[in-house]
Amino acid sequence: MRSCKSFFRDFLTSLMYEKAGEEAGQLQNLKIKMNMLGEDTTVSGFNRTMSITPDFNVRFSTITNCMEVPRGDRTVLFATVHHLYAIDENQELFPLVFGGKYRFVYNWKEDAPEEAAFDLEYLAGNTYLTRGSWLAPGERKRQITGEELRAGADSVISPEETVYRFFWALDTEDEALFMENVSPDIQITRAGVDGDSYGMTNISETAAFMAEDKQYYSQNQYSVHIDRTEFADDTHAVVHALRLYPADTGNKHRGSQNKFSQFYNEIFTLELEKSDRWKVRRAVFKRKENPVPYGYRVLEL
Amino acid sequence: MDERYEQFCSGENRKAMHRVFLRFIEALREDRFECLSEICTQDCRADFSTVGHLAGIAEMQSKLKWPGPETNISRATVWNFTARSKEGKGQQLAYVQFMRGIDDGEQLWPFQFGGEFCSSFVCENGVWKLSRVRFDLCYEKGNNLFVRGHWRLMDYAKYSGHEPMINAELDNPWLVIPDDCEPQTDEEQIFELMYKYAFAFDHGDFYFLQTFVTDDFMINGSAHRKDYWTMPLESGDFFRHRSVSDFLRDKYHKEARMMHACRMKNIEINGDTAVAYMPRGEEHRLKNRTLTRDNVHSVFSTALHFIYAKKINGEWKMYKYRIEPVSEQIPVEDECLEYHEYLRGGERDAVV
Repeated sequence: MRSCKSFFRDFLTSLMYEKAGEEAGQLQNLKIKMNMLGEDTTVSGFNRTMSITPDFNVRFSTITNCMEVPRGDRTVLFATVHHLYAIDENQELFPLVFGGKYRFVYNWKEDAPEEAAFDLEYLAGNTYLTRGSWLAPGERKRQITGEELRAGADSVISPEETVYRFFWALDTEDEALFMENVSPDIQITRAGVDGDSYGMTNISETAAFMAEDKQYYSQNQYSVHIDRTEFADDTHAVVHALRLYPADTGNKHRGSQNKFSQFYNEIFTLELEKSDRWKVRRAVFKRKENPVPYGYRVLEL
Repeated sequence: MDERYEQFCSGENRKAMHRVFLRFIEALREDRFECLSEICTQDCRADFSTVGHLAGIAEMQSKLKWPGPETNISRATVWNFTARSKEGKGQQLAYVQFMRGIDDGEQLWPFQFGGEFCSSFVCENGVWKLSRVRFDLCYEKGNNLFVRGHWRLMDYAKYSGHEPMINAELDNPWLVIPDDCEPQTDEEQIFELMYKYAFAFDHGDFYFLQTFVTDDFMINGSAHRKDYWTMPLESGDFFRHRSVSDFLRDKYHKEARMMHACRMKNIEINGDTAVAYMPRGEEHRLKNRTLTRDNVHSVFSTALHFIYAKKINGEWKMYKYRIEPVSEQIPVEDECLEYHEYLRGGERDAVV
């Protein structure tokens, strides 16, 4: 039986290649709510919003922070996705890079995707291609929250899923989701760009930390690639993760030769403890000034 | 022309070449090239990695025009300016960071690019003119479709990113003119150590590096780790040429073109020792910030360089180079061609 994620991959493939009618008939009439467009669109309609330059010969997406939540006959999938559309000619790359959060609902009874929504979180490169079609940041409203990811104390989720929820809560400023996934003595140390650091030392500082973090980074999106999880015992784990930051490649450049690479700008070490469920107890965010442009996971197209 | 730079700069030849160069950059920024007939020799040649090899003023006026859509923001800032002269010939070096953008009242649609100029001058009847202009594009970011099909851009997998126009051995101002006929002030010599360092590092010329640093030269770079994967680590200290040059090579070989664009912030001279404070501005790498309508009319600092110098046998040499990461934005009018805190009253950064 196929997973919801595999249908989501189909959806992204269709979105990028505009093949809804040919390869995924179920997607043809699916309405997509994209917050950078004024109205709902369809798979085939999306690419027309970038019709100024229709000759993209590179289309590539990366999924991170993917979480599936069962809801009766449905599965609700949440994920952060980075999209790269580009013209690659004569070893020169003309990219449009954008990313954000998806909410995708698959109805198992109907055996069809039911809903899709996307919140744009960043836009880089040849942004001019979207002028006149996509809404300005101030006009875009966040529609995807963390509410449905609040699982309750009896849910069983892995350390990795806990980490995804932890970051999702920071992105969406969902204090309830955050508190559900951290222990009361949560400590966060976050390196700033100038050698200083800031953070929080217990759960009561949650709102202040979220506000400071949002203010510090113009583009605040925690898209993480979990590198590995180490278990000390049944109740203690350490998750090592890297933060993807495709909008700004730090002291590297995105070019023709590395267009399929991933760019990271921070290293996260998260210590988790299991009581009733896994919770993040300590998180250290370090900057990594030299991102390594190697792809770890790519979407297979 | 900025009178403050005129007062700072010693040497009439140097001042004259500075004025000419700024007029040339202003012409590029404003897309108005009438002045080329005044500031270039009739047989002037220009080698631009973006548009190719140009012969004569007419071709320069034609090919150097902005090929993209109409923009309502055009900025250009000059960094690392150096000029040397002897016997009617001059050689000049500078980094320039450009920004062309459209601000439609709602959003900013920017295209940023920067590169190195290394040009030759001649003095004709007492007037300094450009005789050969060389430009290598070092980076481009943002809406590069603005120039698609018109400019050769960067192939980041290739040495230099494109056919190089500047040659480290043949065009280096300090090698082309080893003995400047106009002596420089202590301040100029000390600030210039950073520009020499940038040229050596950015061109991978570590033999040249040895000519202006002491035997016990060290790099103190807290932000530059010896092992990028294992953190935290000891501070990034590198002693003497073997360690220093190996470290710099390690950085150098990973990029098509490096560009250490710096400016003069302040200087402290105490007898035969000195410290110069020189911010680096990487306008395409704003770390925790993105370029927006609000901050586009600014210069940025992304690192602060501390140049520790000592005078040995009458010559200033660098004995320590320290780097501290910073993130700073300074609003500056679009007309500003060159920004130096030192020329605006000076300011010593709190990071010492």
